[in-house]
Amino acid sequence: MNSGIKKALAPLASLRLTVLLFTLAMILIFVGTVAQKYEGNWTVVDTYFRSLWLWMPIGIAGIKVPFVGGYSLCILMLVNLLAAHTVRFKLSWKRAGILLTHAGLILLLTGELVTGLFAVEWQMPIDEGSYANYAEDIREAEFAIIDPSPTDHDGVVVIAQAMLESHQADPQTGKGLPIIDPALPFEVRVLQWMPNSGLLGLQQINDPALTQKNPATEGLGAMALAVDIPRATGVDTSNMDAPSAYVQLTRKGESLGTWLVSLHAELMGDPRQPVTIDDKTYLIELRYRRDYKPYTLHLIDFRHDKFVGTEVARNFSSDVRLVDTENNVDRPVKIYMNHPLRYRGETFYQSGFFGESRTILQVVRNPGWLMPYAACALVSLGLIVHFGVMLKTFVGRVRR
Amino acid sequence: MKTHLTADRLDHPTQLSVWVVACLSLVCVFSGCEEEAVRSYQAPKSPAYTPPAPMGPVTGSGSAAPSDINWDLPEGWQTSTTGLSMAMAIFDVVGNSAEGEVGEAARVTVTELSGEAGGFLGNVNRWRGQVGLAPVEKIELQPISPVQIDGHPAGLIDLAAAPGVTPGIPRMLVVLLPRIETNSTWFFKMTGPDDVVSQHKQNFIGFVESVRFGEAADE
Repeated sequence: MNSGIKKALAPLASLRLTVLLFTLAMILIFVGTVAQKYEGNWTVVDTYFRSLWLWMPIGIAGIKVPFVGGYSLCILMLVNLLAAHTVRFKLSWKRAGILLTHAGLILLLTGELVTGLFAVEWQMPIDEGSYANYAEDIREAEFAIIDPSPTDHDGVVVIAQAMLESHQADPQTGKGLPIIDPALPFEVRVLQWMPNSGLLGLQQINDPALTQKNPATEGLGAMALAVDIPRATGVDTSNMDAPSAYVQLTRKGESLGTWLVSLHAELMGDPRQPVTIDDKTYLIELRYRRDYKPYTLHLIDFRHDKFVGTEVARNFSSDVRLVDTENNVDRPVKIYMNHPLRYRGETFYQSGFFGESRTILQVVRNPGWLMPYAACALVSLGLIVHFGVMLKTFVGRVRR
Repeated sequence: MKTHLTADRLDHPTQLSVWVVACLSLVCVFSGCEEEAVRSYQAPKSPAYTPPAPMGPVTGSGSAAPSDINWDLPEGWQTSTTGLSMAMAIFDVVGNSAEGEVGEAARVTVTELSGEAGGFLGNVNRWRGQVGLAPVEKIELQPISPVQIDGHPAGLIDLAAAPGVTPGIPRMLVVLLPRIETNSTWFFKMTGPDDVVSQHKQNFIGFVESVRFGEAADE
């Protein structure tokens, strides 16, 4: 190879860099694991492991220092490994084990990148006797404005959680940019965004101090008050956040009221709230981000068997009917522990339940799901080959 | 190994930093592909909007309970129809004075709220504030008596104003039942003058312990 390229790659191929990267990785994994006591699992994964850099707490007086994130470490390790092979590449039997082991490591690192960038893990709740044609991302909410007037479909405009957060009004000055988009029937001003919230009823709001705080003028907000609560951590029994927001809707400068939208709203009945403009009614709701499917899953029966005389679960299972008109599929499927349904590149696992008649399926699509298995097999094979070669050399030396 | 390390010494810091910056910029470009923030699309028709059932108290006699819950109503408890509320049932409980006359009333509410409904400690301190008691730092500092509701463990909190506090502050009995199955918290609350609440405390506990979930009320 061109000696100029090798010279340029030499610093990247450094073994010192490898040792440094491994040390940084160990620190990151340790702190990231401890962080799950204080933050949600997915927040930690996104902040520590699927990021380029982060502000890492050092546990002293709330001081945080900048630190490399998992993506940066992963990329640098890959580059380090590839550079080392480029600079010092020699094809020989003696190095075959090392080459295989390193190929396995490259596959493992690439697999994590593929998973991080492309894998999705959603939930599909279905009520007995009903069906679902969408999955929800329970890590992210969206504000949906639904136009139910077309006869054969709903017109839906959704505002992503990231945009709601970035447009939140300043708590001190109350100023913030409204969300304006040609697709929206009105302007949306986010007065308060709560990543996790509790809903207080009227009995609780009866406290004058709380009543004064209630910014809502319409709908659910007139009967309940949302309060900001700490986000769920990785060690909480219920580690799901339920966001709420106070939004002020305006059209051509005219206020359509201040509304409370909340992930808690479902408990009060239909979580959607009607907003009427010029005799046309839109429905608004805060919900988990949805991904509509070209097929439907109908829940025929959900079973939650317990061991007799105890509350210990013996078995969860969902009898569903899979209907896909595009592919002429209409068949019954039983989904239960270790027996997921695989369909159209997605895997449906029995994940949980709500009450006695709602099943919760986990919907996973991961194009890189086989890569860690292949990587482990390659690393194992590489180590066996390397050990064999070393043993042969050692035995030869002893004989001499 | 030692030879390797010496040979690999980082003697090209500038080149190394150029490489690192190049790699990280690539990742930045990769991660920059975010979805647009406002999306519009056509979705399959969803069920028609159903306005919420009146949140006010349920009416009726006997069990007077909503569809999937049932209970035995103590004698003399009157279903109330006043006030819009998220409570699914409200009852007025009239006390008797020493002379046998009808006295002031206490109020019992039954409410189900999503999740932890503002947090256990937050709620306890709010109620403590309402009866003039100082907040507690930890929930362990609040005395809670165990009660059983339909096989689930729940806690009874009895909050009375401290002696010497302005008279007229109500006494409060609250039973809290977190239900994991529905990710909700049930609140059974009796609020009223101290003497009325004292008279009906056992009735209140009996009422709460008679609650059965997943069972329709008698028509």
